[in-house]
Amino acid sequence: MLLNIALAFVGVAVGIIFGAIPGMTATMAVAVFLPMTYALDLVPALWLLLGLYVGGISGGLVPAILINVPGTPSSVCTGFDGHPMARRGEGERALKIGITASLMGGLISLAVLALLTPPLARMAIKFSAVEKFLIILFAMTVIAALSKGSMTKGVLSGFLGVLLSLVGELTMNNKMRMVPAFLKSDLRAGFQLLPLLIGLFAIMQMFQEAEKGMKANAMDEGVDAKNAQKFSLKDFKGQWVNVIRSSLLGTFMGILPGVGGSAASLIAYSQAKTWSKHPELLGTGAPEGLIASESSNNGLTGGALVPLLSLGIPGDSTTAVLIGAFMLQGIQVGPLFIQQNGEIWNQILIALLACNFIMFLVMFFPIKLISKVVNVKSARMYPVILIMCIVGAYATRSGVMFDVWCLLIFGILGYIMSKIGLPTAPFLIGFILGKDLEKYFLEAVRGNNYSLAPFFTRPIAIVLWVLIVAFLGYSIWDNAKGKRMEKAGMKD
Amino acid sequence: MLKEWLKMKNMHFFFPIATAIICGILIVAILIQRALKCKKEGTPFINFKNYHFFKPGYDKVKLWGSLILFALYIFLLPKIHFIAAGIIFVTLFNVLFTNCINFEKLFGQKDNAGYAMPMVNVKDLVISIVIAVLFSVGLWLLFFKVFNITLP
Repeated sequence: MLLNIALAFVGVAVGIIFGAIPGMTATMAVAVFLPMTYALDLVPALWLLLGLYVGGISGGLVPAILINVPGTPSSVCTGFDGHPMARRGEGERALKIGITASLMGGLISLAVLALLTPPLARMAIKFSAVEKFLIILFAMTVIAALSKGSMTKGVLSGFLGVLLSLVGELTMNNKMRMVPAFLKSDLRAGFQLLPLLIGLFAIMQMFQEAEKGMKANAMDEGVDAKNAQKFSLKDFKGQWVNVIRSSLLGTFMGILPGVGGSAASLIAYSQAKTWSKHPELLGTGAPEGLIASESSNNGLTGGALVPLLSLGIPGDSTTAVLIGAFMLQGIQVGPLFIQQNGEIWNQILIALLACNFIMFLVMFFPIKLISKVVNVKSARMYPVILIMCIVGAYATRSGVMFDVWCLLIFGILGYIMSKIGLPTAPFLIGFILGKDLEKYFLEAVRGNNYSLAPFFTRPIAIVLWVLIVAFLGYSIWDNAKGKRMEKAGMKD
Repeated sequence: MLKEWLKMKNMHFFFPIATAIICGILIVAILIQRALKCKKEGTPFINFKNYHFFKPGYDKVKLWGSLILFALYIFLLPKIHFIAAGIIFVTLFNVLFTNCINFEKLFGQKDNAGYAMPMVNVKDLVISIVIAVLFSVGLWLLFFKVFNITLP
């Protein structure tokens, strides 16, 4: 047991490092360590790999909050509220809220995994390409919520992101589109998410700071961190519905194979905004948004294991690598796994529980020190961020220099977009979801004899349409209300 | 019609064309919104008079310098070793961003009071080099040696 706990500690700590470096992901951490588990039995190997998984997902919140660069795609929404908090000197509070929400998300998803795995897995396979397309579409509605004040520009930015995500080869017919002849080999698989994400956030910010002369640190001018609001459990007062809803959304998204963690946090964030008493505060540094994003992306960890262990289908890219650990030990995951491997199943649950608490311990207590990063001068911090970004971008496809050039290209693009008033967050969301949107649409239409009827007749699809229309209607109304209030404020 | 578009040979163009059409419609909508706003406020539709792409008085040396240094870094990265490139360019970025070399004096200018500033701030330069060495070597050791991840 002690060995298992020690391995979980190592896994969580290394996972956090991978999650915290932009470009490095939990999947990469698990993939790197998988060969090292050859020498271990399955149970200690699982403790190590689950530690890497939980740590990798959780670590992404650190750079998202402190320097507004999401460490992982699933922490994109964390920065929307976490970074404004850090800018006003509440970095430590934001990190502690994020870590606590992560723990809660992880525990709730674990409870779901322990109690509901077989029935949930049976339900998940009823979700066809039609429903998956509509879920992705639903996740895209967050663009409308994020584009308050300039909705048309935000939506345009989102669709430009979708368009960019379609560059490259469509695997269904192996044909290329929108690729110049001289870039055919580099762009066969299209632009990679991580270089784009790092370029749009980190490199763009570096250019913006360089334009201003690199004078400040990551905090707003005149902010005294000593007077900033401190973390207390009261931050979660009135947030329990948000925590449970976001965790369950994350868990459910994890259960659906092929729907990633980014979609989970986007949907949770948009729902937090919809149901919030003060939706206008989300995006300006409200703990509510941070809680939604972090509890949902950690909710994913238990959810993604549901289809893996009960159907043999990985819920996300990291669990796809985890299958390797079972295969190495000659264990078949699938419908009979829990029945035939009761002891291993119990160990997985205990390991996941322990890893969540270890993650909390490893991150929560040294956070005072970590949060000091915001006090470092931008002039000293950006060169270091830059070299880490290069490592991350280069490692995306194990050594493609084109991905490193993409950092610069998307950094410049993000800088130009900020200058012409096109928001970058909707662009990134469009890019993240675009490819899946196309894939599930084509699969759905071809699988239903080129008919669009199933999109409007299947019961789950109807529910999803109602949600999409209701949320869009709410966003448009909220946007109009915001504009009216702005005008009234200007008149006063 | 939909079936024709989604035939195997054409299907890769369906979504890009549909998305491009939506983008086109949104661009037209933005232009119409702007035209209506300009008409209401009595301002010209295109007005470059008070438009500044860069912030007035922006730091030209740091902005263009960072752009050129970054491009050079990526260009030289596969040609020289990761550690060498890291040390050289992280130092140069630090020098550029912290003003530890007085570029104005290098170009024969004086400060506002008319006094020549010191050419090099040695302490800042040493810190720059130490940061560059520590992070380049540290990242190489951690990712290449410990985790066996491919680095440039």
